[in-house]
Amino acid sequence: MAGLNGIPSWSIFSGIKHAVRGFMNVIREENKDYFDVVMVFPSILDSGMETRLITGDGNMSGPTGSYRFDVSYIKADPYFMPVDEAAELYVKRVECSHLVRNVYLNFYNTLGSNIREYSEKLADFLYYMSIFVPSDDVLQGPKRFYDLFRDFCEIDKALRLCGSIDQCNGFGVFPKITLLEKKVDEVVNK
Amino acid sequence: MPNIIIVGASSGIGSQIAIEYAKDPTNKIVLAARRHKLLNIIKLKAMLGECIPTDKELKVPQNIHTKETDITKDDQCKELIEFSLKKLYHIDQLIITVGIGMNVCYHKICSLSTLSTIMNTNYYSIVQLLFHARDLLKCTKVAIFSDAIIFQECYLNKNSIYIASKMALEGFVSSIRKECSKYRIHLVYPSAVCTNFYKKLLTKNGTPIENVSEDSEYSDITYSQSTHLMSVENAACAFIEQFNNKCTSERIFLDDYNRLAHHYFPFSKTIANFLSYIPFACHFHHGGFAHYYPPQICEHIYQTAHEYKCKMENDASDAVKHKAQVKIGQMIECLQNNKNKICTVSQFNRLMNTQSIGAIIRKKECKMCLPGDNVLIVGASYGLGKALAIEYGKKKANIVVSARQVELLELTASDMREKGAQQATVIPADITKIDDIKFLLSQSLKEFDCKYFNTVIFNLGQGMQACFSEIESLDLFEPVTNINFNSLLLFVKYLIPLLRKQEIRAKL
Repeated sequence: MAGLNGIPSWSIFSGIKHAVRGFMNVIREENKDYFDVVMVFPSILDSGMETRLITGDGNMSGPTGSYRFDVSYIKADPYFMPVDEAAELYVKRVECSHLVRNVYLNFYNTLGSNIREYSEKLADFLYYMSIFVPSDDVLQGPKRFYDLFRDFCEIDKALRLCGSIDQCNGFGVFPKITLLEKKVDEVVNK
Repeated sequence: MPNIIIVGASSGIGSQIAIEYAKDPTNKIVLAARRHKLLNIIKLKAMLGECIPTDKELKVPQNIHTKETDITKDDQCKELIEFSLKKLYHIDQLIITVGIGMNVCYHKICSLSTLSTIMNTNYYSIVQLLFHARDLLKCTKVAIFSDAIIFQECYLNKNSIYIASKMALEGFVSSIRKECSKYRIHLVYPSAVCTNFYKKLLTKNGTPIENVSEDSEYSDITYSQSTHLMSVENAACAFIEQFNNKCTSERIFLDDYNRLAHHYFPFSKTIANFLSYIPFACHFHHGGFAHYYPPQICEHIYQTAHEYKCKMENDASDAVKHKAQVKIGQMIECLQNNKNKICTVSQFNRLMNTQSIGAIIRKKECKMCLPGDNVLIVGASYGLGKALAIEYGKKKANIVVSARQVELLELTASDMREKGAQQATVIPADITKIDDIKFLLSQSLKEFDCKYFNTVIFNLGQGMQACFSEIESLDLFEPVTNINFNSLLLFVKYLIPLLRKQEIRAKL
């Protein structure tokens, strides 16, 4: 997801992942008559990445190093999706249609991908939710997020119903988005 | 009055900004560029206006300093910052206007050095410069010239590396801005400004387009002095005005089209995309957008969008917004559905009235992974790559797995066979090396009976976690860049010809 969001402490990684996204988008356009390009946005996986990170002093992180994967800014236990689950989801989504362009492996990021076009703030919030709330059981997460989650789902449903970006206003999606932004602000400030 | 460094001041918008700033003698300026001779001319222009006498010696203005700098070189970046601190004592503004474009499809690029030239100039050099200036970032306002097309997420053919470099800049700047609230780093979107940028686009051999003969495949790019192009003088003034005001936004737009696009972006990406295309539509005569979107019709849509914007300023109700969206959305849809058919505004209006416009719902065709499909997975020794290999194994596919560590790959292969893979082959390869890539691709095809790939998965990655201000050396960027990006460029370079040749449509 670093290719979609600028993430603090991940500037170099984020920059280069943005580059990958831009590059592959052009490759997709240039070769659209020949092959499909699918980009996968997996969020944080339980792949042991935290043991193979390069740190600011050049050392590798890991169990024997002094550096630990820092997710303290999240202020909750992070949720790392198991790789098996991620792989199963990927194959399920990517192989069901040749029109799939982007695959978001985490439910919140799928929601975020729709909403990002309208509100970067809400998409960023969903990105953080994807890290620390298991996607298949929102009730296990902090209780105050449950209501928000329901609102997000409603907006997502409305956006899908629109069929066209330009018709969304007809469904009254924009006032709902503004309202939800305020709610998110309240929850975050708490 | 501010102390300013302008990087890329020898030509284009950089030189014009220098001239504008130099009009105020209390501004202290350091001009940096590769071509020192040109810098001196800019300095003279700044001092004397357009009349530059050649026959007599001129007094050098005390407030302007020049420094020959190639910011793609680490030591010269460091020297520039040291030189500037020595001359100016403190730096209020750092303005970076360097950039180079390209105009060639990725698979046609012959020279790999073209790729590195663009990435080095547009991205790494800027990271490098900011790295050496990182102690100053909390009290220095930084402006980096980017491209509005990137912000609007319009991806243009023949611009793969250029887009990648500018996207990288977006991601990098967005991250470091979040690291410290005191950082004031702005990305500036100048849109289509009348500079030599388009003459210097790199072609497949790495030669600038201006040096390529007119009858070549690049002759479709005709540079014109369209009325839509913004003059460098206007662009420089617009920049200085916005940058020196209390600008808090991460993005600075220099032209009306992009400012208008920015206005429409929150509630219609389609309209925003289209509006940001307009200056380019009028810029390239043949091969570009004007081929589909005649300038006068673009202008017509722009006027409508502008009228609605004015209405919305008076009445920001959802009803007015909705009306604007529907109207402009319809106009754009009509234009898109009738590519090459519309030449005049009246023709366009007629079509608008007769055509019913609805949402386009694309039909999705199902294509499941079938037993016996050929799948190549790069980076399959552990993590997600390994899990994917096992998952495709369950679908009874023919799979080739690749990574550097053979022992781990063998484990993956045995797991795949256990789950039912028809064929599980291990080919160790280091994807940062060209020979290994060639070997992997040819060997994989042999394993698939010289047929084709159905699915190719590229799953390499190296994370790096460190605040920008805490990074000790620029050398640390190398493994992150090599594994995440350079290896992908190389791999895709050799894979594309194979995928374009095969009859079966593959997924990458």
